Amino acid sequence: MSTLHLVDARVDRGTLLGRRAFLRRSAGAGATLGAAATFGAQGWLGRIGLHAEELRKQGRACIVLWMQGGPSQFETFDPKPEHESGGPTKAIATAVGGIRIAGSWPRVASRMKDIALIRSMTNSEGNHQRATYQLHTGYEPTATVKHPSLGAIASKEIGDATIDLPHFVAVGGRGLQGISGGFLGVDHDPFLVSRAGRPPSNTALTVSRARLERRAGLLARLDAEYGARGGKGRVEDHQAVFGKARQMVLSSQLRAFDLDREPDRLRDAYGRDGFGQGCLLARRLVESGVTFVEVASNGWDTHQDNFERTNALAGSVDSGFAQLVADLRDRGRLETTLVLWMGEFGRTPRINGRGGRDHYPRVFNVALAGGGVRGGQVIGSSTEDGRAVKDRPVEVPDLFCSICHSLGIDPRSENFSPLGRPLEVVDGGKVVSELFA
Amino acid sequence: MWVLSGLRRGRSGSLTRRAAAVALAAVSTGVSAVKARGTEASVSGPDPAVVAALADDAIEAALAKEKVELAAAIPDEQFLRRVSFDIAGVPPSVGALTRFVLDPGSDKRSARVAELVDSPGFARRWARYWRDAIGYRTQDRRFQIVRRGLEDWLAEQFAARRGWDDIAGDLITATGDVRENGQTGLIMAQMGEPDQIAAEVSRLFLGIQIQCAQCHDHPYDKWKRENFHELAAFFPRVRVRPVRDSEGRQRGFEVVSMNVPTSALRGAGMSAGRMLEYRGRFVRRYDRNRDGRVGRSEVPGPQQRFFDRLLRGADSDGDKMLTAQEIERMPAPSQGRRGRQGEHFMGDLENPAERGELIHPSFFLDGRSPGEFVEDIERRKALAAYLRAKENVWFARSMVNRVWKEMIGRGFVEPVDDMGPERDVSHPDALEILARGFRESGYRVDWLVRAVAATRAYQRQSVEPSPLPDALPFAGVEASRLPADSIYDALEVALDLDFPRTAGRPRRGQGGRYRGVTPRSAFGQVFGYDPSTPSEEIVGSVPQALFLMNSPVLDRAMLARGDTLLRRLLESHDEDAAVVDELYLRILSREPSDRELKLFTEYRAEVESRDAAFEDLLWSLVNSTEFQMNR
Repeated sequence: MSTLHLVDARVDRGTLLGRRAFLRRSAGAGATLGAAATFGAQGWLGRIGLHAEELRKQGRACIVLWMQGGPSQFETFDPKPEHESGGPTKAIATAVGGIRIAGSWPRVASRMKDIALIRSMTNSEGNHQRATYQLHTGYEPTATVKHPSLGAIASKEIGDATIDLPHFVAVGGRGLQGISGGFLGVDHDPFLVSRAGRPPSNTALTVSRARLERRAGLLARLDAEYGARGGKGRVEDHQAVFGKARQMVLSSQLRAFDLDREPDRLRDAYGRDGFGQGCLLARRLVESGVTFVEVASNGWDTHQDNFERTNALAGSVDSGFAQLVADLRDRGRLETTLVLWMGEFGRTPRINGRGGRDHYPRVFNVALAGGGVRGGQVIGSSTEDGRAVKDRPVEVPDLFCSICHSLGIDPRSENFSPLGRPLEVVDGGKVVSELFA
Repeated sequence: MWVLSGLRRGRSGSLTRRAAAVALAAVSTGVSAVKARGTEASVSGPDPAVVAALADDAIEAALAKEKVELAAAIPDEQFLRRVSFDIAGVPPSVGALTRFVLDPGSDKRSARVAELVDSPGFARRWARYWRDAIGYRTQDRRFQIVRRGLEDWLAEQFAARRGWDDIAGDLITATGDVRENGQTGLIMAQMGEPDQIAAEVSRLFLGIQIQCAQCHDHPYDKWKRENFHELAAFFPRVRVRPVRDSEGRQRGFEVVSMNVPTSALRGAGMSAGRMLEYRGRFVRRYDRNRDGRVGRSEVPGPQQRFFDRLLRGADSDGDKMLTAQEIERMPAPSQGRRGRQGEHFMGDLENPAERGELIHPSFFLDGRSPGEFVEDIERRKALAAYLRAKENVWFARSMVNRVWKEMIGRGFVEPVDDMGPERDVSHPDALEILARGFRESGYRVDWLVRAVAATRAYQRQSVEPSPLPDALPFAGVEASRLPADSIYDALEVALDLDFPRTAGRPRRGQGGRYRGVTPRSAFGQVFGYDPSTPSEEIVGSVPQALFLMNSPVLDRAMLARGDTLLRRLLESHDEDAAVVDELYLRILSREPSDRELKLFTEYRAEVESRDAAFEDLLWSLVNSTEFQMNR
């Protein structure tokens, strides 16, 4: 909280309007309205608009593979077989000489030329809720501002307005803390898909297309009656949202959710479980123009039986992650799509009495591929016993600046909270330049 | 020092000072009039109708001065739909609607309002409002554990006609197991963090965003950094801690006071034993990253000074970290040393590593303080008393502004949780009149709801919000989205549906620790919103639209065959117009206009069958803008 700075008030609070009110009013009252000048918003909106246009052309996208619970770095990409902290976990060689990762990730090992590891992530938040919020929004949680998650920011900044699908989709998560449009509004909330392979809730048509269109026509006529009785703005809002939903259920792009269109062999290669199929769905969504997809793997909170459980989890995530990277490369989408593997923190070097590891934000690791990231490298390291970062500490805002860099979003650009407080997309931090070198 | 009590007038200030004074005096006269008559035991304070009329006079005088034309008064059916949703959260039944419209009584509106305020729906509807006002700002999903308990507790308080001052006081001073005591909801929502609780208390009960002054003097208001930290200093001894069962499994949370012996704090010296006991817990509690060592960044602000002191005495290897062993090896403290734990410290922004300055509790509006080094409950009780003090105008204004916004669509100040004192108030005199009446009523929310419902302002047609930011509001009401719970209830009424039966049994929540997910709570996840948000920013979402237009559960309920409302209607009425009437009454609580009837007749002619045409009409009404709006 103390690192948040309030820049001098750019907005005259006396005339501050909400975002929607502002847009509606400027449309209604013409561009000469004083509020527009007070806001300084025309220039600001204009800048964003221009910026976004370039990026849309590039089709930048991000897929986050989210390991809910906090994956152990020792059992993933920073094994320590030489030290007692490492436990029984073995290390295996990868496609890149000198880089070794935990034994249960053979397919990721074979893709290492495309993957960069950061082994020196460090943070101080060991509470699931707060850390999950932080690793999604780049901000520490506070009661008074609901920060938008990165997916929402990407949706707002570079979402492709011409597609029929939502810009931000979350697959298999459980409605995690902090994954929301925050103060950017419900327009940028993630669209939740509980299980890949099935159509999302309420998108399978309950009546014929023709009948839905016919009904929509009747609805529009009835709504106009309400609009004429003082509800015009409300009807416009409602019809806009309704129109989006209708467009979506009628869209051929909805096929992106239909995994039966993929060859069986490819579906097998991704892994036939929820996570693997979620990765395949993510690829299909990105190809359809979706900007940000998060696929969750649950169960990494291994306070007990850490080794057995991480082994089983890796069995599923290894194939999904590796196949996703391979598939994106085969299809020429890897350069524009950032794949990010991470969780909310790491786990303790000490193995507890129940064969588990506890929460450890002081050192953890993340893996990145695509989106301009140079694969086959390791950034930073942890000490031999894994208790501390040895060199090149990377903090959460640094990671977020790097994601923004890959997506072409300026981390220093500002959004306004509901109270008119300008907040930068990322709270401080620097791009980890080695990733892109 | 009540220097801040004056309301800042909007640019379009209304009544003259003298007229306002007369009006305010009349509020008090209203009180004595009711007291003198000794009527109606259920009414306390001034007559809501008298106060409503005074507020109306102030609003209408201001609007007349700006030459703004008032919207027409609403007909009975609209009035009934409005008050049913606004006061009790539910739509009127078709029967109630017919009886009300046909009732020739001249006081039927106020009589109906009184009935609704006395119905169980009133307590539930406002309990849900405050559950959401508190809950949408939580930082922690585990608020779910107390969400339903908080709602139930609030509903009991409103039903028992307790004053808002008592209720606010209880929320601030709560202790106990969060699963058993819903009163702990506000503290639980912020997981006991003093800074966050202070910010929320100010925002929710005063309408003041004091937390902007946490790191720097407030940019728009006059608050200084000290003001925020003095407020946070009412809460440094509150803790939310896990409750475990006999096998050590976590079973929930409790709100407790963590007091340290006052004798020690006053300088008489903490016993060596107590000091060691406290230290022993230190590493266990604050080792957030579980590396067996505590660094300064792991310790919450208020405890950092204590950490620094421990560090000086115990850090034998000089790594600026403390382990349990280092603390055990620390020499026993000398007698007479002052303890400082359980206190609030304001960090030094220039030197974040420094311990910061010890801050004692003091209420920023009037400088009152419970004293230094006092116990937790004493601090919290003191703050509750300062909030409700007669001189504290913000307490009443904040609630009036919220209820007014909820019922009229726009607050006197927007957003409702950022009122001042530097904000423009659209109708300062009317706000003051209502706030005064509310206070005189003993801060009774039922009184306030009755007063607002009695205003002419409330009973006007809805209007489009003006495109001009300085335009004076309240020439008409503004439409707002219904709360999730109301849409849920309205769907059940509209389609004669029982969601728990249709949508299956309640499921256990995530991790099995939370209360079960019910159809209602799942619906709330999709349709809910933070009620402190300005209403024109509360808009629908794609998942909501998908549910209403294309969900199997609603599709089945809207068929003209099977055990559905529509089939029964079509079977019992041969005439189409009668079925159309019935559907409009059920879904929109009004009869169709001639134009709407004609629209449907034309549509009916284009469609293959009567059944299909009515299914489409029913679908269109459920998906209409009007269905989801409160007016």
